[in-house]
Amino acid sequence: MEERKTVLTLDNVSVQYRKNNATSAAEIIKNLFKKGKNSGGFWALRNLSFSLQQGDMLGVIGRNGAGKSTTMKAVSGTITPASGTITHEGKICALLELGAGFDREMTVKENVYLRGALLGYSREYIDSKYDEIIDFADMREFEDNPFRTLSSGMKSRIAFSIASMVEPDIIILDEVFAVGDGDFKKKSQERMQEIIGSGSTTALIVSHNLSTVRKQCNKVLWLNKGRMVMFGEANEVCDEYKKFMDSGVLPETEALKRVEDHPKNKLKKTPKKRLLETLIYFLLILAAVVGGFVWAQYDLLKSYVISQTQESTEILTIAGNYHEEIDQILSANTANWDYTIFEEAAPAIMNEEISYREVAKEVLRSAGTVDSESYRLTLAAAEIEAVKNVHMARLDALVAEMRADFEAQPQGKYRSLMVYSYLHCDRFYELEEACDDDMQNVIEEIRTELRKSGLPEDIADQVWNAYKSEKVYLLAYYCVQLR
Amino acid sequence: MTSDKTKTGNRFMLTELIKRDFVKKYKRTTFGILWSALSPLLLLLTMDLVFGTFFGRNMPHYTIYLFCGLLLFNYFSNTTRGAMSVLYSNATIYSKVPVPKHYFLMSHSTANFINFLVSLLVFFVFVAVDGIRFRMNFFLLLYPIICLFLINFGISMFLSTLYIFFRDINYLYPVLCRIIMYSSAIFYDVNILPGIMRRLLLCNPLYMCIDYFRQLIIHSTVPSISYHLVLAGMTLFCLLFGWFTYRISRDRIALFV
Repeated sequence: MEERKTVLTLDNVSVQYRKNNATSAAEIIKNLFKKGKNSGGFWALRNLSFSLQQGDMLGVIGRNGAGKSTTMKAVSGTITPASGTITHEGKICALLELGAGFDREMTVKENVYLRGALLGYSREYIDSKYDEIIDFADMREFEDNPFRTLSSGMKSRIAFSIASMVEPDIIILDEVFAVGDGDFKKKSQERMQEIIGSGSTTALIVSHNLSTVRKQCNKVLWLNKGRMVMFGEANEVCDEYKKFMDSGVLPETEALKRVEDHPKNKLKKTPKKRLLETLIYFLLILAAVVGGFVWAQYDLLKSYVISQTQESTEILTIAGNYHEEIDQILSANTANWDYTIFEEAAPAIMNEEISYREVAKEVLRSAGTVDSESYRLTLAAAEIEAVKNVHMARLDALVAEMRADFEAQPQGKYRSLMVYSYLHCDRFYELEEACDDDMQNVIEEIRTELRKSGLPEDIADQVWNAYKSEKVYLLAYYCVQLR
Repeated sequence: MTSDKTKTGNRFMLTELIKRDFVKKYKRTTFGILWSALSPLLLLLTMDLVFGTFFGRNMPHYTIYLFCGLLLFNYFSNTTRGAMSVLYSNATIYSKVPVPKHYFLMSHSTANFINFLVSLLVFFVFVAVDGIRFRMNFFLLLYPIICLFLINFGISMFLSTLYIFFRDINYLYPVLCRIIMYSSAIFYDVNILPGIMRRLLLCNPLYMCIDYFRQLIIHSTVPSISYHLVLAGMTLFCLLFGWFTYRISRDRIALFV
């Protein structure tokens, strides 16, 4: 006999289902106290190993609940075994419980395409086969009806038509021969024979009908309670099975002896793996918490880091550079500005006695800047200067306040002024936000001005970014003072 | 069979699934896809009437402010809430036909995304009506939109997997969703919050996306680079978290449904 290609190999395949559906809290607690019975699950298949060559026709027999369907599902790939490996070559087509999984609301045509796509066909393939499918199921007139309007027989017919429209390398049949009325039954059986009979297809058939199995299959797998009893020549196994059905005594076979009671040794999911998973979960959550913490006080922490690494004079220079950048972007000539006005006006602005704009105007007046083309932008630059001065005045006041509060605390309650101010950082936030709001108004003014004069608006964005960077350094400067 | 062939086959499967999910949503309704535009509009109208008098008084473009929040939050909550039952309700399919289960989640997310795009069109009509001119940097909005899509997908994977093993999430998540809603500053002005709370809001990726919209559309400022990076980090985290949850329990799902 010629050597045929092995197309399907099962090696030590075990499938575990859950034993109980303990999902409610009460049941889980009850199970905790019920000791000893905690074996984890129910083994629907234990250490199943066999292989099939191309063209083989395997009949799977056994009583109800022997694991026949589980085997089929494992081979088709819809469930993954807890241990062991399944290797196969070529395309598998599984005809299991045909009518299920269609969409009720969609039309027959849409469902054909959807099911075809799920089965892994390409669009071109279904396009070319569509007429054949519809004609085979004899459904031409119902093509555009919603699926829910079909009778159950029609549903199975269309399901069979789609599923059998392939030339699979391995086909799995789970007692689906009884489909539709007599006429269609005959047609579908012919189609089945066509696929199976070609000789190149390997088939797995689940059946309770021994005579069909003898007639069609060359190999038979006998399962009992998840264990393989026999695997071999069809007639040989069927005879033994017949004996078992009459006497009720299992034969002592080689295959049965090899099966372990608890096929745990080769589990894919070892406790070690589970521990690793828990660890990764833990790390992910930790990363989220730490990340959130850092991000929530990003600018504060940044200022702190700067204050720890750089000298206060250096920090002030950098802040000054950023401020100059703003002036440059707005092309403001600051040469003649009288900075004392800003400083003197700051408390008045804080008390809302005078607005930023008025102060800025006054400075420009004293500097002798007349209404020129860039007057408005220069005015904005002066306003930003005023905002900065007010911000610094507020920070000055806050730092002094913090220091006084800290010294009023009983000795040793807080380790340092830094810790005290960090724990009361809310007050810093308030200042920062007040400053942002003021700045936002100025930016809005700049933007309207830019729009009016037709200049690119991203100048405003540049100003905003420079201001943000400057602010971080300003805060860092005050952090140094808190040390 | 070459891998190339399966790839096109998978893409075809995905498009068919998306078509199903998208069409199914408004099947047998009279207005159909119009609801994608109508439902946020109706909600906006109600909320604008109720809250507009409180918060809208001293805020320019309050309607747009509200719409940004509503639009993104609705997209988020519709996707994630719907996603919970995706793996469960499609079990009849993947327990019969061997299909990668995440395709159902991908199609669900994408169908909701298309839905969101329809609402987005309405949103831009409102933006125009409110007198905000269209600018080229509006295209930057693609960034938070893509981020939100991925965040939704990650959370969907997580919730859908969890739903198989822990059905209670069905009752827990709406509560969580409500908390997320309040912490996204949809209808109120963030400035009424104390400083520390305002910063904690920034740990909520949904709020970050909403804020991105508002900053760009209302204040026409582009958020900083660090803002972008953090949003990307959060997106990555959600994806990783969801994918990891799905990945480790993928094989057991078929046994539980």
